[in-house]
Amino acid sequence: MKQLVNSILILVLAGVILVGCSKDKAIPDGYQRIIGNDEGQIANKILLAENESGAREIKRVDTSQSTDLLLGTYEQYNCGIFLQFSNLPDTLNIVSADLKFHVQDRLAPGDSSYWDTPHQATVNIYLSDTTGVGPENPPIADNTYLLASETIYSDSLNDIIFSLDTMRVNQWLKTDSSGTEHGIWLTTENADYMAVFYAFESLEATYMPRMTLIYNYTDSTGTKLDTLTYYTARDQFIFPDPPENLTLDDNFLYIGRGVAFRSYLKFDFSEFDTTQHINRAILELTSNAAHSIRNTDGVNNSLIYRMTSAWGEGDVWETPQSASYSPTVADSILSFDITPSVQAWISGQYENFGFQLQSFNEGATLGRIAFYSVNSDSVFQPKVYLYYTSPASQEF
Amino acid sequence: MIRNTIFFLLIGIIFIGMISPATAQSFFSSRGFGERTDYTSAQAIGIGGANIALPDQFQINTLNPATLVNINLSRLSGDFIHQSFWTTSPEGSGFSKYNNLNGISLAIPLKVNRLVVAAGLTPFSQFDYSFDESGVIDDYHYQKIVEGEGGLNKIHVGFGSTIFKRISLGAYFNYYFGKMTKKWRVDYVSDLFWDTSDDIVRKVWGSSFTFGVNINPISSLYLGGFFTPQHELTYRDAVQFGTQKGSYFNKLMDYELEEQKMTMPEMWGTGAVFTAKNRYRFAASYLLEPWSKFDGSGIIANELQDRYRFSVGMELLPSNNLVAKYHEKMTYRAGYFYQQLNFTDEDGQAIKEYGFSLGFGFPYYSGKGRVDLALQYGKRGGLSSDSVKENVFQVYISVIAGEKWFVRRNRNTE
Repeated sequence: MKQLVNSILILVLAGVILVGCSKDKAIPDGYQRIIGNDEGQIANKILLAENESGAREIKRVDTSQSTDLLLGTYEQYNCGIFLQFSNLPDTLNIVSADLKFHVQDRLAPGDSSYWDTPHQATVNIYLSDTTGVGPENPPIADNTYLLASETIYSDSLNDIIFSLDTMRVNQWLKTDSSGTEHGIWLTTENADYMAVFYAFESLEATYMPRMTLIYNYTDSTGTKLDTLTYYTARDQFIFPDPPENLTLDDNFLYIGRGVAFRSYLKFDFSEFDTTQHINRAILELTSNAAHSIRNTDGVNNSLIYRMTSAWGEGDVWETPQSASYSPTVADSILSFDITPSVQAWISGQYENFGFQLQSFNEGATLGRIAFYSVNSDSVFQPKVYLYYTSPASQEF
Repeated sequence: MIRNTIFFLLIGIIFIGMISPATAQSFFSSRGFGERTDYTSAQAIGIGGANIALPDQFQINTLNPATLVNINLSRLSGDFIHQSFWTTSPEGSGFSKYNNLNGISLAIPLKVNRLVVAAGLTPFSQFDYSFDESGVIDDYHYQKIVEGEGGLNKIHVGFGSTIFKRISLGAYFNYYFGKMTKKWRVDYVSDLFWDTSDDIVRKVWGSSFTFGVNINPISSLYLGGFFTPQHELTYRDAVQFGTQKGSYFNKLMDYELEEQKMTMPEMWGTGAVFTAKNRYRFAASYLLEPWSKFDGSGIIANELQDRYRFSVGMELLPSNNLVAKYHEKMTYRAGYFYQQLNFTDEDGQAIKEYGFSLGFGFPYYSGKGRVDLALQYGKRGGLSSDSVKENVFQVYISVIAGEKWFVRRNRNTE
């Protein structure tokens, strides 16, 4: 009997250990039996932008921090350069003065075959006032102070040097050697391309714009010549024409650099209630290469901001999402992950004021992306791809 | 030999406890309040649960406090359970296991055979499951998961007392407390997605009384019963809905509801025990818990129905012969039960359960203590071919220690 009891105990222990080591496996339909077929749905939906999307803001921006200086004409864009110097000599007799730029690039519509024949532009250099030279107040050229007028050519790939009228330079230095009242303004006539020069911000001494002054002086040994070189204290490219004059196609949304285009997008999420869990929301925009301008750094970065107030009420927005556009000859699709914004709108945390679309670093150079708008075919219209889940019942 | 037995049992307990998770994983723990627990001791299980009127020196009866008067030493008992479930549905089969402590109780006779007080902590219901389902949307794979965890526990404090010769009465004050958590998840494989995460936590607390009676009309017969009246429990739900990506959690809803009440049904049971030749004990019990009277609007998803349980069992009692061999001093048990669970399946059909049990009692410490072992095998499930069915194998181990407390020592005087 004792052995029987021992045997039973050992068998029980062995059985328990054996069973205890077995791996758990749930029945395949356990989830469905508990949740059912109607609750806890995983779904997706495509939303198109509302008709009010496409409102546009066009404005000049501060280009003083750009490493590019643009001069010339590209389509409707007519660009000039403003330079400002400081601590110039006011007692010297200047016998020669020149202004040097280093060529970075050239821009023109069309493909590379455009440069098979040389193109040119007449550059006029004036003194101009310096007051209010902000994005909305371009410098005003003093036409009585023409410092130089020369022709530049598109096949000039290194330095371009403009010789300045020394009499006018002497007059200028004697009245404003501090450089606080006047700067130099370069414009073009009859330009059919746009030259791109290095700016002061490029921080390359051989590339920075500079003005060279040669002066004479007399000492005990006679009259001699000496040279002074001045780099710009401030330089920027400016589009003098009112940006509103730029005629654009209403079938596109634009973002721009140099002249900033900012576009408005809005989607209606009112059909979703606060219990819907947004797992992913992607905004897709299709670019139109024919209406876009590739900027000199090759890549346009687009930004999308969730707006915190109504369009037109002020520049108030949150941290943006970004997507890069690598320019090609073909239309491209840009995707923005807007999940946090959509989650905040649907949960009621924020009011849905829509999105503001704009370029990254608007003052850096000239560029523009055109996206198909709500007026386009639905295949190309702005879309939001939404993935969401409806909650399962919370009863026990 | 007993040392070896206890040693092997403890090794088994420790080993299983280390390798197995303490989750029930029975599909039926997802229904209603989860799996109801009436019996925690291996002795009760060994006789099929027919212990309502059982007069036993070792058993601290958690159902009928009137039987406490039979406890002759201060007793401390600890219970352990191992369960294995083989689950089948029309879609496939599954397996799960569960191990946990199953209760602890203390009884102290203040006056032997007259007044015994007892207290204990036992599970009332258990709520543990995890099921998942995979899917794909636009080539993005995800997994939907539903998990439930928790349950209710019960602290009972009471007494059993012989009021008249052959009639004993008892009462328990029961305090219920616990937390039940239900989690729903949608986990996307891709890092581009925010995963869905919903939690609802329900905290429950409340109290009740249990009254018991045990009558011994003739020396070989005991008739007993207990009654727990309808009572209220308080609960409070906390809900948190949201989505999660990495360490970021986007809260959709996060609120706590006001405290609410739910009315728990009464429970009553009756039983009889007959002892023949001082060796053979036959027992039968009937227990009813009318869950159709449960009142808690909208808090339980499944339809509830009355629970009843019918149990029969027998014990071969140990020999009182001082020179008997050890196996003759052991207790041997067998039992059978049949019950209807307190919830229906998703088709509204009743779920039945039945099972057989075997049990052993191993005395130690000159018979003052006892280790009980019970093995139970049962089947449960709905009647239709679409229902989930389970084969359940359970091992119960109870270790009951006994000691004489509050002994007045005689002082030697010179």
